[in-house]
Amino acid sequence: MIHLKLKRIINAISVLALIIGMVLTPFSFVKAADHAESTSVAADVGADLADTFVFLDPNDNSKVILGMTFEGFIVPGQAGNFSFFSPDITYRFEIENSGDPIADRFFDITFSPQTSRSVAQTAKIEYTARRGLRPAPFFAKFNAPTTVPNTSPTPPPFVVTTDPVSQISFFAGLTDDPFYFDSVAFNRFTASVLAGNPNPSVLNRARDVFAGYNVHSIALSVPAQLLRGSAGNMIGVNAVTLRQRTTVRQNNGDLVKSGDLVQVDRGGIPAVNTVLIPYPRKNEFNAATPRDDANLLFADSIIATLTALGTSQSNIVILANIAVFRGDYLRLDMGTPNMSQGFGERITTPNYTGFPNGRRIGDDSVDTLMYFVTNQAITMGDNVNSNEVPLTNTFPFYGRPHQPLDSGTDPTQN
Amino acid sequence: MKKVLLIKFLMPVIYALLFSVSCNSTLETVASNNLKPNTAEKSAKNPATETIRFLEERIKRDPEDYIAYNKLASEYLRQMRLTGDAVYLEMALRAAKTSLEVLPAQQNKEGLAVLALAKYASHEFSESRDYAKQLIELDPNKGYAYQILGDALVELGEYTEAEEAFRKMKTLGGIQVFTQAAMEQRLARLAWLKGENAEAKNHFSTALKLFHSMPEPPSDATSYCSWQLGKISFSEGDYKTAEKYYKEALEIFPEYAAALASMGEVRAALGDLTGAIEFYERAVKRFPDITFVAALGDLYKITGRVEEADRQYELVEQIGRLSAINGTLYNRGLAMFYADHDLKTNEAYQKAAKEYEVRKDIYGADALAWTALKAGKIDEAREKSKEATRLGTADAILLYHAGMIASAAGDNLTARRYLQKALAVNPKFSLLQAEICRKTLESLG
Repeated sequence: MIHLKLKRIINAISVLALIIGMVLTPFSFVKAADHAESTSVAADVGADLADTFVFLDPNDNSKVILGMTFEGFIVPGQAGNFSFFSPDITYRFEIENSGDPIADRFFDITFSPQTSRSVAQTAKIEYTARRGLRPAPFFAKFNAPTTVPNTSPTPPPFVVTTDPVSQISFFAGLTDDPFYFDSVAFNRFTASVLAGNPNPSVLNRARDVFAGYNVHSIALSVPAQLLRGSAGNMIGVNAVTLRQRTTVRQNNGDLVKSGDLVQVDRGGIPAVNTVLIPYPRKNEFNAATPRDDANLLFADSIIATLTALGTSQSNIVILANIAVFRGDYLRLDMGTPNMSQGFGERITTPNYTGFPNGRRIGDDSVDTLMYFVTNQAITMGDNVNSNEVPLTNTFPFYGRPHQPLDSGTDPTQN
Repeated sequence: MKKVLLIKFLMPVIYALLFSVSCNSTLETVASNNLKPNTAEKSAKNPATETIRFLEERIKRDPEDYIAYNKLASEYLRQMRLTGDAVYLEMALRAAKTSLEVLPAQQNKEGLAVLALAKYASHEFSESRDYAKQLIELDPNKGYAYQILGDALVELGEYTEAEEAFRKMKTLGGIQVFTQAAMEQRLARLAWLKGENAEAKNHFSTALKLFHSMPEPPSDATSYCSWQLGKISFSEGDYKTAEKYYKEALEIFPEYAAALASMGEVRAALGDLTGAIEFYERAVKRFPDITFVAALGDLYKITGRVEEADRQYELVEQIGRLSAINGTLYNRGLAMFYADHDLKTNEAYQKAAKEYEVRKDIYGADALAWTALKAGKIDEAREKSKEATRLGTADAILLYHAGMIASAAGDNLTARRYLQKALAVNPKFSLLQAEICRKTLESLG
């Protein structure tokens, strides 16, 4: 059965959080009104990864851009309420630079608590090398402020901080969600495949369901030489979110956290989790590592899914080479020049250098995956071929966040 | 394919029922007019209004945007909670159903979750429970589904199963502040039902503290917790403390209808009938809940404003009739109103019995017991009263009803015990009934 929907579709946790936020508690004292409701959230919103990016800075190929987005579907009018970075979560880029599935280096990013809507949080960025729990020397360590969102007609400028020692630049803030995808059409198409009657015409809607929403984004610009390892120009990047293992609630309500970090979510190649991993194994997959992938822990499930999708053996091998045999990393050849952000290009474009060679923010990764999964039968993908707003031309390259607009102005873009 | 075609066919109709602006169908216009809540008072820059507008416009452009439907349903539910406007509930239900028409639950758990929540808010608890169970099948390792299930089970009186669901929620729910606070609220509720008031207060206080630890404490949640702390204090006869909590709730959320009504209740208990009327009038203006309207009618009656009292009582009946047309939202409230005022006793009994068929919580049992007494069905009243008091809930109303039923059955010893306890727990538990309780107790010697 085709479960061809990207991670953010299945795990639209921001939506779900909002939904659960509505959970009602009608504390039915006999004369109380029947609308006595309270809020609560059971989803781990802040740790829910949306997309991971890695590409050469098109303005300066000596630098590598690492990006992750999370907590999607933020409505522009909710910028005040929803836009802060959870101080309980460690956001990590795992870097593999030795050609095996084991991560060699780590960018850990944590945030100070938000004290006010109008005051930036402080991000702590640490670039380390370590194996297992053994600590290793820091390659870089610095602090940087987040970009504070607003609800005025003009978004705030992106705040970029460059560490003078390592020359690593950092950004964290609310941005336009750069992902573009017609999930409705996609689901209909997969349903038609499942019904044994593939119908590509349902892909003609060409509506970007993600348009108009904002997302939390982190980006790093890293000198390529800081990332090189024994594999030369080849690196693999995997984004993960982690929380401390133990949280104890004191009698006074305070939460005391302790223990090692536990992985909540991970994201390398887009859609491996959501497209190829069957539902019952998704939590297991989220908690696993690329090393587990390479040990074929999920290979049977992935092959079964692809077979059910009608994907040919040759394309299964292609996809397995990308996402299974060396672990689920976004792999980038830093020796392949990159001159663009990816918009308007597809895998059939001559001299294409994008996903699955890393992933640029503008890459149409949905179309690329469909190209392989459908045995090259679908070349135009979901017919949504670019983001609704332009990306910025310089680091961090994300599009400016959508701002609440006056009545009568269409803010939706979908 | 058939399903896809069906969805394509239905979408414009469903959409028209929800939000139509651009189409011209009569059905659409009527539905739209009927469903749009009064939003004139809302600021154009209100974030919630902005969010709803954003999502509605998305759906206008793409009537198959199920993500927008899901978010919109959630926002409507939130607005219903904040404003008390039940129109939002209907809109939430339609949005959730439409979302699932576009994309089935298997691929759209968010749609299923919000439908379960909307059903819960509609007091269709059995359906909410069933949807929650379906959600658990689809998403067995997430706490939120058990949370929805547990809430529905509590309302259905399936307390043991509810506790089990909350245990799973706690195990799976994560460590976020909101999750912790949600759990505290539910522990508080269970503690209250078991008569463990101190525990209940502790849990609500902890939930309140957790909410206040957030960068932006959610006003609806914090005011809710304060209001509930007030309700517990009131149930213990501690009217000053209750008033303090209600004021806190209203400081956070000045038009919180339930807290306004509770302020009316506590002002009446403190002997300030004029103040009580003012608060109830504000509550009714904000949201004409049947219990608020009935209480306001009682206050008018006690203060000699007979015509105004009659108008409120008539309004109670009108709300009941409208609700019967639209569903069962107020069956229990209307039944209790009839029973409390010795009106239409058989009809009251039938309403309570009908609701009890599908909702066997202790207050459902109490409503059936109380209306059965008024309808002359003493044996059934005794049986159901036992059910209503089975958890040991320290609610004077339950105790009073049990005492009156025992008295009617000639069991004076039991009657005295319950009536004494009711007055000891909360001497002014009801504007009208506390006095009857007192007189009955005196008559029993």
